Amino acid sequence: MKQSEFKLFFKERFILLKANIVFTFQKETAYWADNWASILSTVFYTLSMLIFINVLYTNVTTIVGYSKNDMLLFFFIGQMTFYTTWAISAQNMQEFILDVNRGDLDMILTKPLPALFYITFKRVRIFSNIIRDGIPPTIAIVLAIDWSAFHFGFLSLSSAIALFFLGQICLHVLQFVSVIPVIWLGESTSIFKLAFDVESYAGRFIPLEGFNMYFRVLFGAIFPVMISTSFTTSVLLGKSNPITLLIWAMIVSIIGLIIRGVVWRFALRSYTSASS
Amino acid sequence: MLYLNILRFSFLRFFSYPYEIIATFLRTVVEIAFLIFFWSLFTKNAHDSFGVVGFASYFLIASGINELVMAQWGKFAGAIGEAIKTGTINNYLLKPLSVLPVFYAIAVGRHGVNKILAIVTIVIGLLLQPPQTFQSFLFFLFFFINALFIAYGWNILEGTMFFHSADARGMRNAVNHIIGVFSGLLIPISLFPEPFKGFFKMTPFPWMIFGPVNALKITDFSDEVLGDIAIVLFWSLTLNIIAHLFWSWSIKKYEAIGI
Repeated sequence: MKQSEFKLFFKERFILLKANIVFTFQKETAYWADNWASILSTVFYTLSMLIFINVLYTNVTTIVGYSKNDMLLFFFIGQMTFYTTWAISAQNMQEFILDVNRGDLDMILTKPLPALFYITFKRVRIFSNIIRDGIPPTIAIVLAIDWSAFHFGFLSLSSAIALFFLGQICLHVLQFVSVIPVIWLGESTSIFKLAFDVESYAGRFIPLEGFNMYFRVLFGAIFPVMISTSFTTSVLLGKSNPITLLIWAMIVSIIGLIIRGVVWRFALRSYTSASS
Repeated sequence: MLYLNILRFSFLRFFSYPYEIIATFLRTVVEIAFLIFFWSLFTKNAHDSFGVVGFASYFLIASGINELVMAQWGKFAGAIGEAIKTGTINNYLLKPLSVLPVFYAIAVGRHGVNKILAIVTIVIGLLLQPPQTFQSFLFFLFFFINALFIAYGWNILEGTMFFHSADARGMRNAVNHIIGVFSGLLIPISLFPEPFKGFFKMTPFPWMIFGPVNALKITDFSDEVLGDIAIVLFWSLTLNIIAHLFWSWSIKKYEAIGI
């Protein structure tokens, strides 16, 4: 690829991403009443889960070697995972199903823009999902955690951050593969919800140490839902080797991105337009 | 007969997408499997062992009851709310029929596959840990019927909120997170510390799910059981009266869009 083409590749995507972020912000702030209800919902969810964890630990001292403080950290990372994937990927994938059914995908494909990139980052909900919905309830979790009990080294912290972002890539690939059957089947909402449920339970409900090796391969590589939360938390708590998990996550992410590209090209070949 | 036909039509529409049926079935299996797996990890460290079989039976029955009575994320409330938000409720208000049973039939029909699966999970749960005596099974039926009434009234309240607020979806989400914990769906109420357990039992939430499941252990009319029966009857009656009054009042205030 020539240098000018390389620059154009990134410039095009940067302009598209900036436009998507601005438009999403304008749309989200058009109706302020919706914002209060959303904050209420996420705050109540967080409070109910904090109550759940507190009740659990009145009956036990550890669960799979996780103390109450460790479990709160796991919950905190899990919430960060949820809000990030929900803001950047999950809702865009749900909208992709609607785009196919309404024929809007035709409009996207006929335009001179990188279609897969556009579909992936169609709406970037930084204000609504991260700032508005994510921060208020997450503060409650941050206050509940005894941070002085943790001692994060530079290697574990930097590996954890890298694992978090690699995990987001893997989650996006899984969500993409779960919605793409809409091209052939006409509907894939329940398949997407199934993938999301697996991510919720295997990725954010049970820590890495709760699974044996077979399930770690299943949910860490084949359906890679554990990387963003479970791997990250395990590394931060010093329960797993950061380098091993980092290499694992990088390999899975790269393979995931290749699969995504292949599946997309295959889907486009099969796609029959909704319009006449 | 009309409402049965609505139920049947809603049920058959779902069969247009068979893969969706398979995915819906798998979602229920995944949810129950992970809940049981999580609690099996819990029992390894618990002071009083509920036992893995005990937890498996509990969550199989609890998730089945949740689906049948429509406690958390009640589809009945969702059907009412969707119709109000989209304006399609006008279509039903114009017709000579009772609107609430129509939405109930739609909710049951659309999720008919889930209802069938719910019955299967309850049966499996009962086989894993059968009722202690025949009286326990009668108590279970009593509390289950009351759970239906309580959840019916609660769904009407939730759905009617959509007449009054553009934020109703967010409020509904907030309330349903609470229901998840305090109904016994996510964690048995018996694991709550004592003072809180007594407080939550005074609310309607535990009686939608935990009440029927716990009834399988009841063998006689102790003072505690009589107290539980009184609370459950109170909520069955009161919640439905309040819900129907709220619905009637809201309908009178409703201004439709269109001619």
